[in-house]
Amino acid sequence: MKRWFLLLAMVWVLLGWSALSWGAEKITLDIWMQGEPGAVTIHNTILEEYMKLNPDVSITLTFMGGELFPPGLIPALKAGTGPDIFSAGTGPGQPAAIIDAGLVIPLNKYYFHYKWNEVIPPMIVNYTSSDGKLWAVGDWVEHTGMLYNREIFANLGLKVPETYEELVQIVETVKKAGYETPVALGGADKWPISHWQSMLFGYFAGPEGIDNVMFGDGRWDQPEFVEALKLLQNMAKDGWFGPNPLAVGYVEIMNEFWAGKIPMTFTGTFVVSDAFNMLGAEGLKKFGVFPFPPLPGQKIYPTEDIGGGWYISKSCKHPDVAADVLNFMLFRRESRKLLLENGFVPVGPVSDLLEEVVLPSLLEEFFEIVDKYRHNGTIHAFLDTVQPDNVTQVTYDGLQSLIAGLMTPEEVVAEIQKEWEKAKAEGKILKPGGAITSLE
Amino acid sequence: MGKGSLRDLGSACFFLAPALFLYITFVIYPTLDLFRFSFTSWDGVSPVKQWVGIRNYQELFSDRIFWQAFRNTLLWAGIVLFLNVFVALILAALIAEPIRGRVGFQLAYFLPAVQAGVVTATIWRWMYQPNGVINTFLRTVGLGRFARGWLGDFALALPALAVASSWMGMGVNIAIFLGGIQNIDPALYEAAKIDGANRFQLFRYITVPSLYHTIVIVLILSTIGAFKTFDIVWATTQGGPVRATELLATYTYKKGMLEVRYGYGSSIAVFLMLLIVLLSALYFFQQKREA
Amino acid sequence: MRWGLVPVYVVLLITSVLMVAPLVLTVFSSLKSPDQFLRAPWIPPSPPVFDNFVSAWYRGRFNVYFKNSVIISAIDASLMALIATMAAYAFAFLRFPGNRVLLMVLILGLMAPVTALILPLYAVMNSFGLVNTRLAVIAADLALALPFFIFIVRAYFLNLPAELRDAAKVDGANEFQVFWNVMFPLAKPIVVVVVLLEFLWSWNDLLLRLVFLTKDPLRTLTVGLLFFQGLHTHDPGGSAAAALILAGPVIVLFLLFQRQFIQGLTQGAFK
Repeated sequence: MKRWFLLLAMVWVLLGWSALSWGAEKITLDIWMQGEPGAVTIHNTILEEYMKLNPDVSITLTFMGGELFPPGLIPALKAGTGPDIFSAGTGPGQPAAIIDAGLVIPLNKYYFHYKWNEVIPPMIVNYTSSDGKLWAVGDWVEHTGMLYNREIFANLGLKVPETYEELVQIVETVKKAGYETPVALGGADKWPISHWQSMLFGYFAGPEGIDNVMFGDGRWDQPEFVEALKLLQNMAKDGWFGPNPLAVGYVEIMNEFWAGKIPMTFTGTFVVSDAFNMLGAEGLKKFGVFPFPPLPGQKIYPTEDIGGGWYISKSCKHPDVAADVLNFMLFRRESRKLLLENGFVPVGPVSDLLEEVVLPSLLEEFFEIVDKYRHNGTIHAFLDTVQPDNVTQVTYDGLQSLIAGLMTPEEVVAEIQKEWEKAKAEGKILKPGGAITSLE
Repeated sequence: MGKGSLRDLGSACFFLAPALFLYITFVIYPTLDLFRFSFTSWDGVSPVKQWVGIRNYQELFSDRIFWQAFRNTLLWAGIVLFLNVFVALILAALIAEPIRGRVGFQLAYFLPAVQAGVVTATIWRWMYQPNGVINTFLRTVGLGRFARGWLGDFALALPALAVASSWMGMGVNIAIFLGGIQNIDPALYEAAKIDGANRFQLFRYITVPSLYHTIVIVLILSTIGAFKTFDIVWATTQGGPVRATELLATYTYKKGMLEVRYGYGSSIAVFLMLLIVLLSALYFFQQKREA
Repeated sequence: MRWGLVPVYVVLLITSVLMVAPLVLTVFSSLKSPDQFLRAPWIPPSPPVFDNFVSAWYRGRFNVYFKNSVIISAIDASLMALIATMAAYAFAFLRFPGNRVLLMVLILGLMAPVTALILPLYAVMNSFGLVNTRLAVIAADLALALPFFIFIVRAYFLNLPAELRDAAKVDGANEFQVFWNVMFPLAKPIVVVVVLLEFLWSWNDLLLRLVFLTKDPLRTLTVGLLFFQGLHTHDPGGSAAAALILAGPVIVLFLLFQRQFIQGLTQGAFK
């Protein structure tokens, strides 16, 4: 009899113990974002902080390399084996397909619950939502501008240009001083050229002109876009981008820029955190940024876009916890300061934080420019992220042809317009998100 | 006493079971799916797959870029086959000669063959840079006028990448050919040499005919490999500049995955597969006729 | 020294230098510290530094990825040796309906481009619940490469003297005993080829691992190399070191088994 009692007691103890630990079962969250595996970014630090404050949550952050859409993402989401939270592109094309297939959940209730509606600017809400539902939280804001090497400018007695003519002069001077490539352009990778295109389209058509095509009845084969591309083509013809603009990739040519071999390049704030890590605060100060100078009659429009957005997948078993993590990472004041200090600009107002953080010098300069000219209106930094993919592919190829002198500006915009119409007919262009009012 | 009788059915099932299970589940079934999807307008993501009949194929025929990718793929295959089969055969014949250091040479040719596509792409992308190894070397030996931006050059990007791809593939073929040559009865060579044949004649009249079967097999395998090439192009030019290096395999990926038009991408893949089957069948029948 | 051989030596020397040069340059790059890259690429590193390798191994997590690559490729190679040889035995020696037809179907499998098959393949793997398991990659690797290996082992078997098998059968052995005790050992040269090549192809594969093994502890070296390249900065020394960690083991493997490999290829698999 005693043996039976002992056995029963053991069983009870075991049941009781497991019941207790069931209650304390860990909630696990899988997060995917871009980056090099093994890299330790500030996101790791922030998430570790969260785990300390919430010991029943275990978060795994996996870096998926450099692409906005790793090939493994879509199959994983469809199968339900994917991440709970992930950072990916926004816009038509793959993001829209993911949304249409119901693979991510709308974030409306968190939008109001955590008061994100008071932080995220309307334009960004517009681009991360559709049909009145918020699908993604913008991850970080990016701007583009003309980076330059202060030492080279100083040595050649050059000043930051205020008009386009002055910039032409600078390029001439730089060429005569023996710099084969005045402005670095990673033409082999195609997308760096589209950053130029986005900025020039915006300068020539203005924010309203761009919005008119994106959301209204406007067309791409209008004179202002032709003029913009003509300017770009002439720049290439005049050797602004060196003798082989299409032969080198972005990473390789940026290397030469940071090494001081090329005086200028037009790129975005996304380079700051890596450059900051590579060069250190002092090394970074050797570089500055100026906005692309306008032609007569044009205004300077700061370029702006989000790098991507954070989504919560449908297969996430604890969406409330996931939203809480996102809130902690992106909207909590301390986190925002940490992100800023490391070169990631969270969406929403940051001016109140600026006094308390030490920004990388380059980022500060970008902010000054954006703040100075914001009242003119902002234009897209990366049109290729808000256009349907067929338009993007044609744009990429067309821009390469343009630089190589194989196609005229008229031909390029005609092709872009053709693809644009195709996508529009299929309903694949970006629809304006509209205000988010419903709670679901 | 044909191979078709029932005698060994039981044993055959046993021996073939694991291989057939794996093959049917993970190759045949997905390939059939691929055919099925090529008749839909599926985007690869949504649960809805809409049947559109042969519309994808009709679109294919009027797709200018598709035909360019097709031509590029043929050109690519041509260059790769020339290097990987013809030149490999010659090199194998040379190594087969009574020279010293044969093992060293074999090793030198085989080392690139064990590289991953990613590695080859990394190495060659680095070498082809405008200020990279190749151009610096050309300039140093006074051939500077040949230096150019290889991967940005519309005419040369494709051949440049094809060379890189062949660098990787030649070694295996050389080893295979060498094996074949060493199996040729030396008496044939002796007899011919007595008749005064020189090296080229020996090659043309003895080596090549004796290796006929082997050459056909290597041709087929190399063609299949060349048509399926994806890694090396994707890691360097992604089909650029302006589609100069766009191959059928990269175009499939762009349309299928990037542009979320998986149905259309599938039709391109099906076309590619049929092309490979056709070419292989041609080789086979050519061989049967000669035999 | 026969003068007639001079042109042969010249051609061979030039071509082999061209073949090996890129690798030698990569070795140089991997041993250079960042400042040494300002000089010409063919100047050897002085002094050579091993930081790049250490960085790839720890920061790049190549220590984890290396283990995964080894596990998967070793299992791949051993299973392939058995499965392919068994199937080849059936095709070469056994009489059953559809022998020819099945062979044709097998060869068709060589032609499928993996990039196109990846979506349906994922669906199949998922229905087996195998996503993010090494088994998924192993199964896919085997399935895709089986046609090739069955083909060459079968050719090898067909080239063996028929008497060997007949003698074994006369002794009253059943098929499996004949296979296991006689033919499989006889096939050693070609099995070496199978093991080495399958290990190599498995080791170097990228796409399957990129899609099926997304969890970091399961990642393999090829994916690690792809991601190691960095987003916006370029680390030529690090990339070179990473590439060599990937390439190193297979080079060593082939160096060790070179003779057997060549022997296997010579013995009529390709006749």
